[in-house]
Amino acid sequence: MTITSTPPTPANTRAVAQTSRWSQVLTTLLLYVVSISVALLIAGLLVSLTGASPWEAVQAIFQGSLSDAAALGLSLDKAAPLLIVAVGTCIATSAGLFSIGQEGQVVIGATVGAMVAIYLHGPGPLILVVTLMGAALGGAAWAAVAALLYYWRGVPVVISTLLLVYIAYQVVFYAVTQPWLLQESGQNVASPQSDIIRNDAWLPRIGEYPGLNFSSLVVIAVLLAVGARIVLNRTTWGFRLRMLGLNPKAARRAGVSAVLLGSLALMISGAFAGFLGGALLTGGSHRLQPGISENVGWDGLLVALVARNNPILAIPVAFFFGVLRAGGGFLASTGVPRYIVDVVTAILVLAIVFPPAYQYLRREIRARRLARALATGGAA
Amino acid sequence: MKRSYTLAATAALVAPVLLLTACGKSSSSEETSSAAATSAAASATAAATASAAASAASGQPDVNGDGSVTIGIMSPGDTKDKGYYESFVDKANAFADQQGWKVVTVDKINPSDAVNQALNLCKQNVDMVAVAASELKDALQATTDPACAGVQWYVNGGGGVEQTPYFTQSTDEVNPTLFATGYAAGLAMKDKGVTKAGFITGPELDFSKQAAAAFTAGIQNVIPDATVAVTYTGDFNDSAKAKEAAQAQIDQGVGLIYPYLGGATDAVAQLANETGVLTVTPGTDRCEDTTTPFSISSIFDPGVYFAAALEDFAKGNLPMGQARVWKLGVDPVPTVKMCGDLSSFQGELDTEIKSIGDGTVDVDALVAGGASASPAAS
Repeated sequence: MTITSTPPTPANTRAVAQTSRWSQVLTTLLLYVVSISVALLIAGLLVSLTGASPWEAVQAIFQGSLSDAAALGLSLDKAAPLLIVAVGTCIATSAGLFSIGQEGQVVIGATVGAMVAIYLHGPGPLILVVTLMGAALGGAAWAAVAALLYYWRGVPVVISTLLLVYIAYQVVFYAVTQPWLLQESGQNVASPQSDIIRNDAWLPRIGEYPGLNFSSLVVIAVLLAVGARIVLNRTTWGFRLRMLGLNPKAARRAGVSAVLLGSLALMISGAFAGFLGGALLTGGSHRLQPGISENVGWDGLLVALVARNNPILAIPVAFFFGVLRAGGGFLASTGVPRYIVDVVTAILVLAIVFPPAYQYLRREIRARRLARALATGGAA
Repeated sequence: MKRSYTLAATAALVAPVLLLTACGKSSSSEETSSAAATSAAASATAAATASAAASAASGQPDVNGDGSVTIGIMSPGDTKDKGYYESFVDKANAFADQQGWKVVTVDKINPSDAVNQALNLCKQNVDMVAVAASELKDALQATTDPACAGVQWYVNGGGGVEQTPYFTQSTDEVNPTLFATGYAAGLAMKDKGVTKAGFITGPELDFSKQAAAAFTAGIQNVIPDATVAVTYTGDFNDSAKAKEAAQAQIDQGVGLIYPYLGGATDAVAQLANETGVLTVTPGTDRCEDTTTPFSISSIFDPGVYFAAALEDFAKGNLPMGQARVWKLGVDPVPTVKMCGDLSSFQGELDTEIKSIGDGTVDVDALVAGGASASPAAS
């Protein structure tokens, strides 16, 4: 193989860069168009198989998510949790740590939050704040276990965080089935859930039905996304974090403590998820239930993946996922079987995840080929 | 680095202040709508109270006056479980077909999402929302939401949901039914000469623990030295785990297995059939089932309760704010039926059921008094 090149000049370098950028944008757009079209086609076929009309299914998804102010509010409500998880993920990923345990951290955050909200006495707003802070600390502590295992014993973060999710599920289930701990009181046959927390400690909502109304978590999520972007891109701490993620050896040479900074990044990511657990408790079901997380920990990871770890880009991506969640719920209420709704939403999510994943793989393969070619050339 | 820490510390201080500010502003809006619960509680209470009070005379069954009757069903479990939830939906569909009504079913609902799903059904202009199990009782928070104005609510309350004027419910009692089931199992075991039974259920919840205790007490009422191995698989629908538990119990020599399960019931029953072990249904009558035969049908069929409520609804006589308690030995269901060869014991069983119904047998005392289930070794 021979590698030929023409001498670069500023003008043609700029032109080449511009052309390459445009072609990249066009390729990305084309990939999205193709993958979404294919997804819609498959989803339509599946819906037809159940005897329902695909067009009516599309209308139902729209009706449940965007058709009026209340539906839009629901989509925002569904998007905010995903955004918070995604932002936390961006922080951990910037340090080169791929944590996938947010689902467990959400659950632990909600459990700690429920303990605080139920057992602590005081003014409602204060209870709310302490609940959220307690939940964030709970999530951070759960993530700290993974950090400890990684830096002390070399256990991969992906593995430990994943396994900690399943332990978290058991912890919450245990908590809501023990009358001395968090199980609902005053029932002959008690359900596996906690009592409802006092209503003056609920997370406030903005607006009123049937107008646009949504949880204040939406505002908090956007502020956290913007804040994270600023901290990651405009502060020394953020710079060090990114340096650690891009090249740990160089970072260490520059005086960055991988143990401290990496652990902190993981714990901050856990704190975001834990905080979300507290917010779901105080702003959603208002009581601790084993399924309180509703898989936001997993879906939030996908948001971060599609947004390529950019907290700002995560905002529209999370909104899209929120639309799918709100619309999917409404679609189920039209009589389309739940399993088909799950498959349809999963296909649409895949359609959105596919282009960045494909492009990443393509870049990796190209880079490897080039490296191999250069190595072969060098050896020759 | 120092600046970053300062920034972080400032953020940590500012965030609670912002939240407190938001809280102060929100006291009036905290009970408002949407994602849920709370939705519109305050603003719509008056309207909903009026609606509830007038419920029985509010034009049932076509309460929204759109010319058709639609029943929305919410289920926490799989409505293809060949058991409890499927029966609920099947009976509703059968009745709706006769009446020319439409049924919309949403199953596998997470309790945390119950209110949203209830609101979604209301937006489909349903005339009645039927909640298939008390696990989804939080959905009832939507009864006062403007989106659900006028909608009638039915709850299959199991052990009972705190009654409000906005819904009607059917309830039954775990102890009598499961004691009678245990009694029937005891008769069958005595006939086959076995003294060891198995009880397989999902998560270790209050009602499943209570069911195990009542079932054990019933068996020991017939065979005092009988033992019951109890296994909690953690999941009512996980067939693999349930089958594994059943195999372990069979290896320990049980002669009868009660799969007190949902979607995993048939997997256990099939294994029991293959190994000659007696088995019992968890809720429905399957004595005529030839694909997966059962030895005993323990019938606490939510579909029967619901069909009765739908009948009243069709006549315009389903009052909101009331509970109907279905009693063993008094009502046609719950009851227990011996299947096939064992039907010769039905008379003896019926006598016991009658004694439970008229209070001659104090089931609660018998259950509390002694019978304790032994955990399975597996």
